[in-house]
Amino acid sequence: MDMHGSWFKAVWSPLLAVVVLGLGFGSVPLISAQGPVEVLYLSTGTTTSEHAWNAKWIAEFNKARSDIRIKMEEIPWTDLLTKVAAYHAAGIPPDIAWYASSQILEWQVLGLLEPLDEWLGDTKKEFLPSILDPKVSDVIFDGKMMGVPFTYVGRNLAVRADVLRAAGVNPVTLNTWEGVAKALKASTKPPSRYGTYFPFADALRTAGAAEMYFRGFGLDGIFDVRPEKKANYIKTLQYIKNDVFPSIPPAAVSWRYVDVLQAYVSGLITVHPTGSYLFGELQPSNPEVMNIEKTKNLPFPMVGNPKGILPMYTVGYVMFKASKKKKEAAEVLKFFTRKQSLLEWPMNMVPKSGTTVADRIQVNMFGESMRWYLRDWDQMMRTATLIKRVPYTPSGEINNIFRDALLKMYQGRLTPEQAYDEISSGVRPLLKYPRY
Amino acid sequence: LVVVVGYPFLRGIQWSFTDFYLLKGLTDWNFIGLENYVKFIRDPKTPQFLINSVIWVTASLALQSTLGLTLALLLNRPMRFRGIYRALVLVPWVTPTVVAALIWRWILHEQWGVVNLTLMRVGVIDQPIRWLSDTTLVWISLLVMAAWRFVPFWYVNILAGLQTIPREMYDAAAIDGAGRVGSFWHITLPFLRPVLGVLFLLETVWRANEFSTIWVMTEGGPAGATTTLAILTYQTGFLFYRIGYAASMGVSLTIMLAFFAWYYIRRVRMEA
Repeated sequence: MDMHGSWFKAVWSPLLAVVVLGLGFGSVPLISAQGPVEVLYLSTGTTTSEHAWNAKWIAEFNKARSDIRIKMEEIPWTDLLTKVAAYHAAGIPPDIAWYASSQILEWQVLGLLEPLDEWLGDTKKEFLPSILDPKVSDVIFDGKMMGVPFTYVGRNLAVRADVLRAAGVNPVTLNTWEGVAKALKASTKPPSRYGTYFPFADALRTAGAAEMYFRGFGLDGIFDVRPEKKANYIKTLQYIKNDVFPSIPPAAVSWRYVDVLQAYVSGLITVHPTGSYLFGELQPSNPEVMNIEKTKNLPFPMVGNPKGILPMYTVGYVMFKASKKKKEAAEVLKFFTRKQSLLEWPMNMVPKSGTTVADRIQVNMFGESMRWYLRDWDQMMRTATLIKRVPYTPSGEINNIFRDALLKMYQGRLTPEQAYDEISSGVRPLLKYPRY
Repeated sequence: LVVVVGYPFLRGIQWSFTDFYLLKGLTDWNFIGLENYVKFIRDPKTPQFLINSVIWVTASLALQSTLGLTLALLLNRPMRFRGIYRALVLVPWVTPTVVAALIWRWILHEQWGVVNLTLMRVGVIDQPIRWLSDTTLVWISLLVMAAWRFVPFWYVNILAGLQTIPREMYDAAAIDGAGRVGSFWHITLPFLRPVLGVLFLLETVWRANEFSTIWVMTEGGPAGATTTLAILTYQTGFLFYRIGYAASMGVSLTIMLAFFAWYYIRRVRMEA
């Protein structure tokens, strides 16, 4: 007993002293005020290539600037809104963060964003031509620039060309919905091969996978429940029920995004609604799939438009209004959006004027291996119809309503008409943006 | 305690009477009385979430207590390498819950999981079993994972209880002609009652509040099939930003658990 008592005292007394001292001096900064200012940077670049790019430029910045230090926190896209809300609710807002279309809209609605026009000064001129393009402009609110893009993204269809050819389907025939339906049917050979998927365990990704059908049938997105569009919505759901559901693996009910990537790489699925980020996502781990023989990039089919469509949006940085280090955060943004760092960006396209495929090949971490992919995109963007991806809010709740109704339809518990009623009655009272 | 428990608890109760919704603003909220509670009670989906919580808690407790008791009885007997077995049984308990849930998710993965792969290779099945996407099987998957993770806690406590039972009691019972079953019912179980009583109370509260296991394995799916009150509270607050409404769910869960604890302790005392 005595031994336990002395052990207890020996271990806990110093700890208690530290806690008491810590509480007592909690308000006194332990690091000198002359030290570097720490900028908290929330990044959703969790893939190998994005992480490497971030790490390189953070190290370069921290080396070049002794007065500012970047502290990066990596967060999956699915948790970004929650994390930023929690930081703000706790009274310790982050300084800068990545955004994509739905995040910047939601933060703007919340009033969390700092306009960047003045902070960025002249450097913004290099971005304005691309972000003011109505096809990708999603960062200008009330005439103010609330985000600075480092890339613009196109949504498209990636198909396993090798698998389709083996099934007797020419990949180029997926330029119509009839062609897609035929390809899905031909490439479905359960249990080892299926046409496509919905990752039902992840509402955000389910909505993402569904986007191509809704845009391709003339809607603004899964949230577009306007009465005048009801017929289109139901037609889309009917297509999904009749032509898509028979070709998805039953296991997809419990899939998340990582399962989708594995399914594409392994050839379990052949048709993958994705985006221009696919190369950067898969090349580091699966270069055997990321080549011109096995992956064919196509625009989304569109009723009455044989060229197809590419919904576009930007990904970039925002600064939070509540940040206490705006001056330093602006320096980080300027550094991260310099031409050199953007040219090395491993995914998607760069929103700087005057950059070419050849420029990027020279400095990009993937080098020559990316040429075919960038050319594919270059060509698609010249031939297909570019449209703006319409952001909506509150995306979390709407995605959830949509996912649950779609899953019930898959399970045979709802008809397309009933699914529409369930989605529209849930979404209509919630929708804060777009305001139709 | 005042800072890390008292303040958040009181703040949660306060918010449960407000319309606090993050998309309206971080400070823009009003008192709305019992509106959140009424909405929660009247929501047609609430009974299903309550049933899910009851299924999860009762089935977890039944499975884990049975396995924990069996394991403790087995490893309380003299055998070779008993120390090694006793240590090995604790491995799941020291594995972080999120890691354990991720591992089990992969083990039970319908397409590439080792369970389906093995069953298909030995010819037991020709189609993958839908461990995580079938609304019934998903419960079995969750309960098996939770049993693997939490049985060691039952086992180690019950084993400690078993070791306090005097050997002489069993010797006297044997002289009186009691068999193994009789000794178990009349000596082992009564002696274990205090330990089991505490375990049932603690585990009921812990399982009712369980988040990580279910979230990592299923995120409450498919289509809400495994959404318990704890999962629903998280979704409502942190994914849908309805902080006031989520707080009312959290407070309701706390009230239910407090009532259960009060009733349970009262019952145990009366029986004692």
